[in-house]
Amino acid sequence: MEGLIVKENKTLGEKYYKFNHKSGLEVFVFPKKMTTSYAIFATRYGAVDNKFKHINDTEFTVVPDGIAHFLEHKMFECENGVDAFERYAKTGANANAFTGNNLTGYIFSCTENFYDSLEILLDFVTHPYFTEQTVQKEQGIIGQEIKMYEDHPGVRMHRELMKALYKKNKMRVDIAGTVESIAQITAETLYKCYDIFYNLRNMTLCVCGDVDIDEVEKVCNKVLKEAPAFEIVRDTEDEDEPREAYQKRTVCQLDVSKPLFTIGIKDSNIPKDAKERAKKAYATEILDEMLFSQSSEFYNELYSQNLIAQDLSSGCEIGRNYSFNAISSESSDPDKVYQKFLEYIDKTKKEGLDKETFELSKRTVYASNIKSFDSVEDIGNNFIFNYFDDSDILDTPDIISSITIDYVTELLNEGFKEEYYAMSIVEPLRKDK
Amino acid sequence: MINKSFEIAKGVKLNYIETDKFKTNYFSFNFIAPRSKKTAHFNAMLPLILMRACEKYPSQALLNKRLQYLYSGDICAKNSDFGEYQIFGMKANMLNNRFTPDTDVTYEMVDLLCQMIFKPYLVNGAFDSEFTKGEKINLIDTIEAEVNNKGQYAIKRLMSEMCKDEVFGISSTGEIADVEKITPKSLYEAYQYALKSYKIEIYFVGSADIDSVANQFKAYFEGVERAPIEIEPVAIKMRADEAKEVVDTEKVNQGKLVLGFRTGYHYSQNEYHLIQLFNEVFGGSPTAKLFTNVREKMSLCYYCRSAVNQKTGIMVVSSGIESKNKEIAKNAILAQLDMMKNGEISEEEFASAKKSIKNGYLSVYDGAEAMEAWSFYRGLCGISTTPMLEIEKINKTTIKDIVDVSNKMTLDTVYFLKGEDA
Repeated sequence: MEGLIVKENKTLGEKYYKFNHKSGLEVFVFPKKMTTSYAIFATRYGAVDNKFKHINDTEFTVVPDGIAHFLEHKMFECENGVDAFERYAKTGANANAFTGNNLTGYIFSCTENFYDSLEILLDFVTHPYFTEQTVQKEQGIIGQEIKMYEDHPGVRMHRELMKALYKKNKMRVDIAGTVESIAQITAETLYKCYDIFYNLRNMTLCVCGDVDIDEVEKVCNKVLKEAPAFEIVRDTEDEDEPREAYQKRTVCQLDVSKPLFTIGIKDSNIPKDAKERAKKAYATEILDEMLFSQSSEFYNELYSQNLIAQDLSSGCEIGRNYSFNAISSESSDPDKVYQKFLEYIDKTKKEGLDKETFELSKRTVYASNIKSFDSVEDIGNNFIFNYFDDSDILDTPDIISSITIDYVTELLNEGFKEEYYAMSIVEPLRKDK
Repeated sequence: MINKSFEIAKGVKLNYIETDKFKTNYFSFNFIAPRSKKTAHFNAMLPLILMRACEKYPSQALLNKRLQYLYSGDICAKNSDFGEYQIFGMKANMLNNRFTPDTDVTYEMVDLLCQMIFKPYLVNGAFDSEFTKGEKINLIDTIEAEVNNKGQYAIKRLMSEMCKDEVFGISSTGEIADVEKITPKSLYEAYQYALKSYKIEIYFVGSADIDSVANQFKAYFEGVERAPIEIEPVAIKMRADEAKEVVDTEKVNQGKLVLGFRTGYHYSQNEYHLIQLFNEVFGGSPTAKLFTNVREKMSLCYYCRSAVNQKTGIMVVSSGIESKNKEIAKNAILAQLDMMKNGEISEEEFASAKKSIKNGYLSVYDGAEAMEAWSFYRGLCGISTTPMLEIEKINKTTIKDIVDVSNKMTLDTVYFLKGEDA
């Protein structure tokens, strides 16, 4: 087995094995004594990758928005007319797939016949089959998926926030595209994207469960052929993005009972070093917990005035070329919440962060992370998302431990400025009948 | 599946499911109330008001600080319906003690939940009026917000139309007009009634010194007067009368089509595996007839699936479609059922449905709440079984059994949430 590595975190009681398969694929195995085993086979190819070229080409190729997601749907169809779901039906595995901004993942979980299911996974993802007819049929199905999300307040609010925060970053693009953009997709463009991005050297397999690493290698040997070098350049012109939010406020109307809002805080000060990036992400999580949790002054003041619903959620995302933090809830008066938010941040900056609150919040983030190691699905997915950003979930406890109140204070002072904020609101339809 | 049970007080049971595979422990405290329009809104309010504050931690901020201190301990409200029962209370999840060297988190979380339930924050013999007012607004907001999730909303509308004359149509969140009438005093009376009169089931899943956990609960029940009521089983309608149709029109991008069927099956008959197998072939998976035909072949929708309620035997088929395609979609769904009635089920379909159910049953062992649900809901129907025993029954089932099930299905109500443009 080539390049076999074992990595362990004793605090967590978790470890993984890694090897480089001769095909060019990197394989990770997390041994876990569970009834269920899980596999995720993912490519570093997502909704934002719509402009790219071979290193020797001069011109970039531009493909329609939503194509990575479309491709994900179409991969389940196989040449002999038997689709991947039918093949999994014989092993009893529960299979699915998803497309994100930067990746596409094919997954299954099962309680028996793991290696047979793994063979199906590796086989169908490495054997595309598209025809004009099946592409057309999918346009109807995905068209309904897009319409379903158009009626979904949370999804709509997030999309509008991305469009308000970013001027040109590809985070503006909806993962599924639009009914118009997917109408331009053909079998030929699908094959082109497939050939480029579904290169095993651009992909990773992670399995988690009561699984034997030698058997995993045998399945890889059986199915995978050596991949050519991966020599693709992605367009990065969107990275040249101003730090300030593009629009301050955006509103859309849907059939909802009460307004929903999200306040986004844009950041373009993204550490190049992956470990630093991870540290910043967890420190932001601690800061959010300090500022907006149910113990916070902000939450309690607004909640007692019935200005926000019971859930005030917060979360941050830091990728290689985008980063934002957001808080969301329902409110009868989102603009008043926004004013209170501005005042609260000013006041907190002046008064400084409280040491006890910092310790409690850090403890919370530390414990939540340990909790995420209780399911094979969570481990597999978290691993891939982190690994594609060059970080490693087994390093997380140590990263969190290293975060200090000074570091978090710096994030507050540097990151929370009015020019970086945008608010997206979903409000009830005006009844003008 | 349950390793040990304790009688904590009259009509109060603690069930322990022991496993050391998780880094966390889980437990829940469940009141079992009859499903009734008179009490649904009170029962929905109780977990909310109890979680707002207690004597020892008289504000939400203090309560949450305590939870943060207990390594991100988590306590959530529970409120759901199951046939003639409304089940409400709280559930908690926390790190196992082996990750928290400086704190006995299990002990402290059980104590905190008991503080919330048994030592609420009171003012002059009633709940605090500001807290009550705030939680009423929250509950009303929650009820009003049901319209935000169109898929769920359409199913709820179907159930209220289909079960107009049955308790199964009663919403477990209550009605807004009833919530509005709640006072700090009437809520406190409802609280006292619940502690005295409802059966209580406590589940603990994980690894702990369960005897001392049992003693902790026992200590809190000391001095609590208990006279639990029996809940009469409600007769289940086995066949639909003539099918009816209900249409609502809203400004939505996608229409939601929902069909309600009477299956003639439910948990208590101990033949539930038959209906589950039927559902798997019909609309419960990506190889089911609904998915492969209505979605894949006809390209009518992104989702089209069926689900059967274990307690009421009501099957709901739901789909999101172009509003103009309503009749086509409805006929396509019914055509799939007719195929099953005519015995058009292949050996392959049948074998894969069995495998898929087996997979689902076995994976129950990997989730604390899944294990609890397995025992809890069956326990309420007087059934005790394990995934392995159910798999044996599944293995013995034949295609003919499933065709027989199909022929008992009757369409009761069609609900359509229509887009304005259609």
